[in-house]
Amino acid sequence: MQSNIKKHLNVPKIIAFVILSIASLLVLIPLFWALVNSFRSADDIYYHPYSFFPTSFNNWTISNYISIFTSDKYPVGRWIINSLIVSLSSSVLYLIIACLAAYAFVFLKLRFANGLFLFLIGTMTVPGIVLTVPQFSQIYQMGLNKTLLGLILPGLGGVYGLFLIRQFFLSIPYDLIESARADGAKDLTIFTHIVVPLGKSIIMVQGLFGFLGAWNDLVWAQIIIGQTTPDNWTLSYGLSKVIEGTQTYSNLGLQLACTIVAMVPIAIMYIFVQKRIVEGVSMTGIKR
Amino acid sequence: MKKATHLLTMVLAVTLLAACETAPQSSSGGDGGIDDKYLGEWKDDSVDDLQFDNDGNPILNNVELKMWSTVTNPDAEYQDQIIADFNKAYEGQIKLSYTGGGVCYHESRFSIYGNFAKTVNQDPENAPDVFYGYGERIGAITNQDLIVPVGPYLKMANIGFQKDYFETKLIDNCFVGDNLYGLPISVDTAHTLARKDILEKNGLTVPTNYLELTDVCDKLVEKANAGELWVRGNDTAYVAKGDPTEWRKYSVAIEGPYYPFPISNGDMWIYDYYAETAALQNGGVLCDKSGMPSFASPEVAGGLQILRDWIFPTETSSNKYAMSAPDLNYDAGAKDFYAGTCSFYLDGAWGLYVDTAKLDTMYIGEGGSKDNLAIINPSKLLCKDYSKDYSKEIFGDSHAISLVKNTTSRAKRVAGAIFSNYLAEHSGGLWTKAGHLPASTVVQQSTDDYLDNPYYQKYVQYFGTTDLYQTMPVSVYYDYVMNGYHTALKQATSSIYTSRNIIDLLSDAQEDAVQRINDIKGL
Amino acid sequence: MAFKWLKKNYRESEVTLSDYALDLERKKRTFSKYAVGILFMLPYLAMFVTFFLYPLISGLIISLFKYNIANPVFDATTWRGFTNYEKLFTTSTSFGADFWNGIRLTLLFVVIIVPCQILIPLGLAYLVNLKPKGSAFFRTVLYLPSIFPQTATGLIFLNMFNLNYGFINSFFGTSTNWLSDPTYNTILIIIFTVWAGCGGNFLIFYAALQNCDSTLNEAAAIDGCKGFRRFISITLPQIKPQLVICLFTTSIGMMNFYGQIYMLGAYQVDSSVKLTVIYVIQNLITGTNFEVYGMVSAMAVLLGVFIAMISITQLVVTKDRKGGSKHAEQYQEALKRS
Repeated sequence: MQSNIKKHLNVPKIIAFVILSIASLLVLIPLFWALVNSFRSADDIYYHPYSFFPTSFNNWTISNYISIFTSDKYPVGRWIINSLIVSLSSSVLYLIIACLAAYAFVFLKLRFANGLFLFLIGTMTVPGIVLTVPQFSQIYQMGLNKTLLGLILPGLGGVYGLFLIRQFFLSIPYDLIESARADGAKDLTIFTHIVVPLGKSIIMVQGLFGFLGAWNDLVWAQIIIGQTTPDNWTLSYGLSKVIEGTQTYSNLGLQLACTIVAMVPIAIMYIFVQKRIVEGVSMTGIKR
Repeated sequence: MKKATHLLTMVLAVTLLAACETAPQSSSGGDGGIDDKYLGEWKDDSVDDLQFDNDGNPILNNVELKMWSTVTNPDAEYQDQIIADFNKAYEGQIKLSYTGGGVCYHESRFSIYGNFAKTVNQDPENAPDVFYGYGERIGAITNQDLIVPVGPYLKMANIGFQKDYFETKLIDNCFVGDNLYGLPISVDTAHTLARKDILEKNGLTVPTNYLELTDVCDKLVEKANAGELWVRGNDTAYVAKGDPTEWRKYSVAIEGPYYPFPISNGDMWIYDYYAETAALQNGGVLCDKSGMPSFASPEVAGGLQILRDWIFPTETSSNKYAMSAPDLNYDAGAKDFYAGTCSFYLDGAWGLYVDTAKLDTMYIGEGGSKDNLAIINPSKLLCKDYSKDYSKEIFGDSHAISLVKNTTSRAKRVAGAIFSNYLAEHSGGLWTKAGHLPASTVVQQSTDDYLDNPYYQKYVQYFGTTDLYQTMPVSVYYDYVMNGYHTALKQATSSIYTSRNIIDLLSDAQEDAVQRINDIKGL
Repeated sequence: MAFKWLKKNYRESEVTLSDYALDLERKKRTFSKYAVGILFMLPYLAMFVTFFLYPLISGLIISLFKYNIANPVFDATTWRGFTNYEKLFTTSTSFGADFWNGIRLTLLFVVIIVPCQILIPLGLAYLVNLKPKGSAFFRTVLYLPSIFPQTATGLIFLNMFNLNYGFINSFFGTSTNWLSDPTYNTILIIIFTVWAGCGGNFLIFYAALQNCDSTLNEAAAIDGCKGFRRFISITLPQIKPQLVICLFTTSIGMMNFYGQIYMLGAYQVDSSVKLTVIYVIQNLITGTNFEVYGMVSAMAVLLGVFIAMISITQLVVTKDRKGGSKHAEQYQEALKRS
């Protein structure tokens, strides 16, 4: 009986392995191609257009990377700095205000808390696009058009993150808080010493999602910093402009070098926080 | 160059002074160097902060100006140099500078107009004082209330204005009603380059019009198919040549079909110049007097048909074989031209400096670009009937400089007028290197500035004369007209729409453009 | 006076000083609790009101006017009432035509892409959950595409599928023009969106399957319910909440389809095949015409109504029904009893 079950389980595993390998290949090939071809010179691309790799050892070059960091037209270094400023500020600021608010909703047993929260959930059905024009007009009137602050501020009103954090806080046992209060601790102390450490994984998850949301954003960047000089662009928006008016051989290596530069920081970050993401995602699932 | 400027200005001033016998600087009835009929009804709203000396010349003390320009590289470098020269010539009086460093802010035409409009209206502190853009769009930006006339300030600057000092069509673009809203500086277009060495080696002559071009191209393709076509050049994707001067026979089996004149369907060249030229040379008009699109006409369709035949020849086309591969993108033929695998290539006038330099290097012992390159301007190149006057017309982009509304200081406006005049007078020299034809008829006749200029000798002399150049008629709906026309063009020359009639594509595009214009009007 | 008040409220019981002190203490605590509460919530609520509620309301108001963003004026001359919306409901104006074409395109993409972005990740998550060799590696890799910016991965795909130097055409020996031909371009956009978008749902499903009650599955296996049938009747109902959430978020995401089309459709010849509603709105906002903002706001509101309708439909359809997880529940009961 035992050996039969074992045999039955092996075949699915092999099939799974094969299918997953194919899927992984499909995922990795474009990224690998981009990495390899970012080291190709313009001439090599013209003379050997379809080759997957640079054709000979001599043709590997880092000139593309040098170009993009010294270029006036595509100041990728500045783009990265701008993106970092916007994304870090967005995610950190939002974390702070959302965690504070979530603490108030969950642990302070305020009478209006539930009603207010239901209202907030109700607004989740409003699609973001409805807010685009008025937010744009508002940022203009505040004089923040064409600035990075104009990119950061509107995202701070989002409800999804607050929802996520509040759900997680609900799972923290209230007794901990009560006993801390009984010991005479103030709310701020409870917040910083108990709730935040316990909520580390959800904070990392929300922080990462907030960061990625701002890093990858295209629509809002187009509106606010779209018509300024290239110095002000964010990385994601800058990449969309790299294709403007060019589809020439000479630009393939350059374009791919830009994409690699955009993707490497994210990939590195991902490797570090990967475990937490899985934990966080599984915790946010609604258990039966 | 500086001497010539001063000389020119003095000559102008003296001539005008002599022509009108009254003293300058009288505001009523007198001439003072500018015909009052070019002042129109416009009322000067600038803040009076300007003093004049005894000769009636304005006293300018370190006036700072900000400039935005649609010119991008490589021309931007030349323009910056010209501005730097101006700063030196007017040191202590007028200085152009830009907060981000440098002398001028450059941005591509695709976004600068929108940026300019928004900044003038919403961010006036950061708006420029002078705006260097396209002459054909002056009507549109005047309508958007972004600029002020330059005429009155030319008068105040004691420079004056003579309409026939400028090419008629170009100066007409700068008038809105009776007011002069800008000074035209130059005009340019794309040109056809030909490998003279390859043509001659194969016993053919450089064509001078479309029918000759199609004839030559057909012969080239026939020779290639028969394995008898001599070519030479750099490495290609299939054949490595160490020595670009070495001749070889083109092999269709290895290198694929031979296309003598690649044109793109994707971007730029064919859009901005040749497509409009094709419309003009067949008697078409892109927009009518009221500014509404009018490109859905049989004449324009005839022009586009020529471009379609280029890629998809039919029984009735002048060329038997396809002159270009279909669905090519930007820079079609760029590398092929130097590899010898095509014989003709379209490039913008500003690229000629690089193109001629390349051939100079490749054939350094064999006459360089002089003996191996021929430059064919678009005149008569895109139509079949040469009896009509319009068959010689060339469509180009003209540059013009205007004063921006936000600058309310009279001193700054006058300084801007002086600068505009300087640019107009210096549209020879360095600007010629960039392939621009001067709008000023004075410069065109000048030997020092222009005719003896080495770049004029090298390539600009082949660009035709400015009286052949037509720009887009003035229209406040410029964007809609151009977008509509370009949509029809892109579809007409793409392989996906070959089954549709060109006139239908044009009609659809025009209907759509008219609809959009009406919708905006009716908001 | 305090005693009088106490006597009034605590008539029945005895009042002592300690009672009073406790009462006061309680009131102070409540006050400080609310003070702290409001203090903690204030930053968030301030942001919410300023950058969510206020724009929401002003957006609705703007759509009733002709709003010139360079010169915003709300008076009788710019009042339009519902004419903006009227213009959107017909296809005789370019705004209306663009809008409905955009809706049609968006819905097309939703209908094609959402099933792909639910079923494929589900399948992959199931396979990874079987724990074949290297499942940790697969889990890492499969999530990768969705964290990169769309513009970056879009740029890679744009070049990969290029007619003249992309390796896709040479590898498969085809010569299709993926970038200009409307049909193939649409296919390319779909391929890219699915490639880049599966990661997120994959992770959610993986986590959900991990949290599944494995004893339930084993019990079902022992009782002879195996493979596909087990998957449908036992496993799926357990992850139903995640399925619903994913369906919800993926559909909303697809209704906002923009970035991928903007990158990959850049060279397309037929623009009507790529202009989804968001694309139309973006073009108008970043365009040079200042007076269209009232109309754009109306478009956005109308799109919002559409999305809300879809969301509500989904919520209603996927609501928990009585007979949904019959089998799973039966097994749970059985297990509990045994």
